[in-house]
Amino acid sequence: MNTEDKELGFPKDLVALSSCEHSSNKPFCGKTHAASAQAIWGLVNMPEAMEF
Amino acid sequence: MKPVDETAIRSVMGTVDSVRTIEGDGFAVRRPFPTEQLAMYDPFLLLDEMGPTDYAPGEAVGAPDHPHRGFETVTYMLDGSFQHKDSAGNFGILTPGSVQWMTAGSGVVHSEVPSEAILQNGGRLHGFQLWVNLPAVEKMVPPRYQEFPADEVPVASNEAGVWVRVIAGEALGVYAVINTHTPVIYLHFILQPGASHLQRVPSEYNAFAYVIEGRGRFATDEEEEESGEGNLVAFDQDGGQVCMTNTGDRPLSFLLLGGLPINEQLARYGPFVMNTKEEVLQAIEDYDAGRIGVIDF
Repeated sequence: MNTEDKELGFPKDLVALSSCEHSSNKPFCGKTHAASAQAIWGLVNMPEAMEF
Repeated sequence: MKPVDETAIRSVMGTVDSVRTIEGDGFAVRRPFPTEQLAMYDPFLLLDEMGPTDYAPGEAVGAPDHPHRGFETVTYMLDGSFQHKDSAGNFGILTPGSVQWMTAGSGVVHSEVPSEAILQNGGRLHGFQLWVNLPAVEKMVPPRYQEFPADEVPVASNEAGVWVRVIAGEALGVYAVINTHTPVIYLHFILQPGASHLQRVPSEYNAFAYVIEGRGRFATDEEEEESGEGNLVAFDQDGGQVCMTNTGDRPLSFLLLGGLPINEQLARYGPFVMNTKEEVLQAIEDYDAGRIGVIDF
């Protein structure tokens, strides 16, 4: 469990991942998602630096 | 590993507040995930509560032509109506209580916009969009479109004050009519004040409740905090049933979702959810080249 997990405050089974390209057998991905608080349904423009 | 008692009631793992954000051409959504706190809920990738928003004539906006690849979108309307068109030639008007289950698979371009009636006359829009992941072997399946008007989506109720619309799975002895690629439960419950209900959810499923309206407790432990509007209640996998009780003085309306986790590597960017970065880049390239399709009617 790394610092990202601790910040989330979930009791267990949260996994913080180095990126959204992940391998996990846990229910959650705890990664801060770059696109979480913006319009993502139609986000199709190629970003200059794509974060995974 | 000790087997889980399927008759046991699941405990609550935690509660997540949804965030408010803007989608499409500028309509408001409440989003329990993906957020900074919760990026996904395997096999579910996104849940957006659209509105409820009251529009004046000419004000309503939606999500014009945009693509998807690698998963399924499920739209469930509570108020108002949306018009759907896609590159596979499908057209539909989604009205309150109706459900659209679209398997994007290898790729679809679709538009989801307020119906002409809402655009011209104004009115309330309220609904949900859920994204359900597809396993790697099915990410490139041909697109599939299922649409069911409200009177074809099963509902059930009992004398204890429990009402449910069965979008996927089973509740109160009633089974869903929609075919899903992966094992999923999608139920909309309304519990009257004081009503309580036990719902079977296989212990191997990840499961959560999302509160639309009212207040309730989602565990038998009375010390467990009540949850309200916009809260996602995450259940542990320590039992095969969930217990929900309306603790407020008005109806408790919530979604109960569960699914068998896919447990695969994931790479996502906007409307493309694949297994590797290369596959996402390919999806963007295919979309830019028009290979995912266009809406031409």
